[in-house]
Amino acid sequence: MHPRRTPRRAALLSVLLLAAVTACSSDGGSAPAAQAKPRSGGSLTYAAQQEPDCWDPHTSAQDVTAFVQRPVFDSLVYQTPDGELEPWLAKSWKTSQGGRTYTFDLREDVTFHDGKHLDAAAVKANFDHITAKATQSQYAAGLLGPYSGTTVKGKYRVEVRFSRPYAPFLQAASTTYLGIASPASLKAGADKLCAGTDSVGSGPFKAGAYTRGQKRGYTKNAAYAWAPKGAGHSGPARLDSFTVRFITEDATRVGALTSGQVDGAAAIPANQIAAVRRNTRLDVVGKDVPGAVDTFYLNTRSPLFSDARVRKAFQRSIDLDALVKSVFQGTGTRAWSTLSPATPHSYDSGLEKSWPYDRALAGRLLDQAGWTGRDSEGYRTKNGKRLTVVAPVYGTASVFSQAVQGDLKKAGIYLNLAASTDATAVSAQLDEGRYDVVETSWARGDGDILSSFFLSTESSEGGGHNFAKVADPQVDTWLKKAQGTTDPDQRAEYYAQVQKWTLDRAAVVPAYVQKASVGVNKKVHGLRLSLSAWPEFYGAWVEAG
Amino acid sequence: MTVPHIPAAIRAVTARIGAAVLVVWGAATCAFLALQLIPGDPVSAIVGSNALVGAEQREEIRHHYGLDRPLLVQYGSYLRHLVSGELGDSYQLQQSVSSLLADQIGPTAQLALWSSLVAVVLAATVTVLTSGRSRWPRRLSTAVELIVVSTPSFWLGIMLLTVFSFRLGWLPVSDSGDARSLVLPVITLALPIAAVLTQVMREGLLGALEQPFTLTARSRGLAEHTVRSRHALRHAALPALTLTGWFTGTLLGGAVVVENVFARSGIGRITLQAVSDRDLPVVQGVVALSAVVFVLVGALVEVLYAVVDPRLRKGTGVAAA
Repeated sequence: MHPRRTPRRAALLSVLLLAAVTACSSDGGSAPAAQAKPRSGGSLTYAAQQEPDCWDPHTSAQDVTAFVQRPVFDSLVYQTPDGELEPWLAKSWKTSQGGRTYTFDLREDVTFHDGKHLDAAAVKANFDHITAKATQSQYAAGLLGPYSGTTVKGKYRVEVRFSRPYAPFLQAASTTYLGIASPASLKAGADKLCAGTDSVGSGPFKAGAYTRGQKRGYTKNAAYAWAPKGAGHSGPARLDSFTVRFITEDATRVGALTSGQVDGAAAIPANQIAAVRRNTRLDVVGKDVPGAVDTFYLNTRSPLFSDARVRKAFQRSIDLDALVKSVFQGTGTRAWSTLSPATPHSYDSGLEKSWPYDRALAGRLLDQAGWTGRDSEGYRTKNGKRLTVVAPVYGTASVFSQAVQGDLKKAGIYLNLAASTDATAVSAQLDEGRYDVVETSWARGDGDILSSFFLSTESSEGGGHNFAKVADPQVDTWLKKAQGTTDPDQRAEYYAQVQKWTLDRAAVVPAYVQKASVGVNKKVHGLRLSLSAWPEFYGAWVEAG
Repeated sequence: MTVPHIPAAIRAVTARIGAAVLVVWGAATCAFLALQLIPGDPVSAIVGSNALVGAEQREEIRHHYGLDRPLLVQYGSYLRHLVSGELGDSYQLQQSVSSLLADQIGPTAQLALWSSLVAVVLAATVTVLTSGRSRWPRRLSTAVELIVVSTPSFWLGIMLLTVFSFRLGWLPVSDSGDARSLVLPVITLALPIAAVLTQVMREGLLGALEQPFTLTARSRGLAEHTVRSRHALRHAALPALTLTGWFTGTLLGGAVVVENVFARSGIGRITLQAVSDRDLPVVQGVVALSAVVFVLVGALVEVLYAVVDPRLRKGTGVAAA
């Protein structure tokens, strides 16, 4: 199973590495309902599936870095598990110059773990650190988009400027990647910050001892009094401490959970969920991952797929309902749009059931397009050439991709899962457009994720993800307008247009919604999942004994 | 001709050191070349596949790591650094490889040494116990050995965990800081080694038991177990010693599996991570380290030969056969 990659930009490879993505449990967002009264004190141990390479969220692009550093670093803005944006370190903000400038008024009562005070200069120091060359930021700097600079406007007022209107900034500012560290700690140097030994933020927990390859400790920040409203708790955290252990091996992690050696465990494999649920001491909580779902992007410029009829036929030939059900053992959801239903203010539920599996229609379309012959293996042919859809795969093809391959065979379409471990070759194949379809997903708590897939400027060579090679002035306008609008309903409207347009043109075949599933011991309460489906430890507590 | 006034011992030691340097240099060079042969732009490996990084920053990174220099220059600086113990900086962890390895060698060394010790003791015990006149203990042992040797250590580790940690709850699943967490990983690593060692040693022991000196010893009225353990076992020990040396070196490879299954920290853990991240400096560092370990273990085994076999000692008056 491959780790989920939340906002990770995911150039090409790891994205294509979707080996066997966790599509998992179902029920709602939060841990077992707390019948007992919340208790302060105690500690818990959580088994993570992955360990960060680099612990500096300003540098790292790994979603696990954002997760393990969330308890330590606060952000200017908070995004609730439902996707709403709330004040956090910034008590208010306003935009001016048509969305080019954001002015934040900071809380005046915030201190970092090293005793230093949060002020406008500290925020500026963080943005300067993120954009500094020496930081070698792999993701945070990219999240800032058309960033042009930060100015201190007063002791607690700071202004962040962009070269064009950039509405996705607020959501970006809520991520750990743009978390605010103590300016003094930022001077420690890239190696120290990456090593995870110098993480100093203002969060509800202080970073404790870290042993690479093993575990990291966290201790309560007793002075914490600036939790966002939507955090579900206020004041210092309830837990005195907690530990994150890094157990990469699925069987070991699940075993540690079922034998009570850890209190929670990430990424319960789909085939283990039922077994974990049967254990009366355990529960599995799950949540849809927001952002772009696992989707087939059809290369609208390839010799095969430049014919819209063939694209349409491909889109309607796959029995996604049945495939998702069988591969994910009843714990996955079939997708109807490129966006996950969990993406705030942007999912268009009107698309559901709008393009059902219809192999008869697909057959007629292929006949019209001239793919009328059949070869010895039953694949359709045209002028003696087999109907082959080339799908570059980095690493090995996932079980799901193979299931789709098998299903498409019934429609006479050969899905060539061209698996390679040669990163350069795969990148070159993508850059040069030598493919028909790319299957990938990209988690993010904002509909702006569509921009990196469908803006005409987001080509693969330029580091973008426009694998479908959509280059349509109308689509560009919708996406740009959405970036320039702060009204969530208005933005949702634009994103709905893009979702519909890409489906109607058969530029995409959304496949399934990824789900995070976390196993939790029932003595743990209030361990809810964030919008990006990672556990939040702040409000969690454990029963005594 | 050699210079006459240099004592033979010093000459021998110099030759050994020279050979050792040659081995390490050869391994390091192979690692360097092999990694050059891997297709793909190292810059892609550095920024990772998930980064938002522009072309300008890519060039910056290429320059930072010296990847824009000719291959020969890169090789030269790599060797220079190697001599001074500097192994470069990890692409992913943004830390120096030498400090990274130094941090992680402890748990792996602990694991490797205990595993070797347990394997040797276990093998010696089983050998002595199963080389008697009666056949059935030997047959039973041979069957068990065969099963253990052909079991992948990954599976063996999971099975041991399932039984002793998940079901019985006797031992912790991963490093809890105390000695108990070493038990299962050590057994996982030691069992297959012990099985092979037992096969080799029993072969030698049975051969030795048919030698005339065994008859002499027995005729002096020595107890059977003394004959086996004091006299015959020594003869079986030499080939086993060679094998043990080899195994200790390869334990680094075994550590990759065991450390990941048991969620221990150590060289194996970072090796796996480095290989999957294409973190080339770390991989090169691990190769250099394992070359050094092999050389050291090789030297140690040679010393032990002389301890086990008096014929190999100078001045015993008996020429080595």
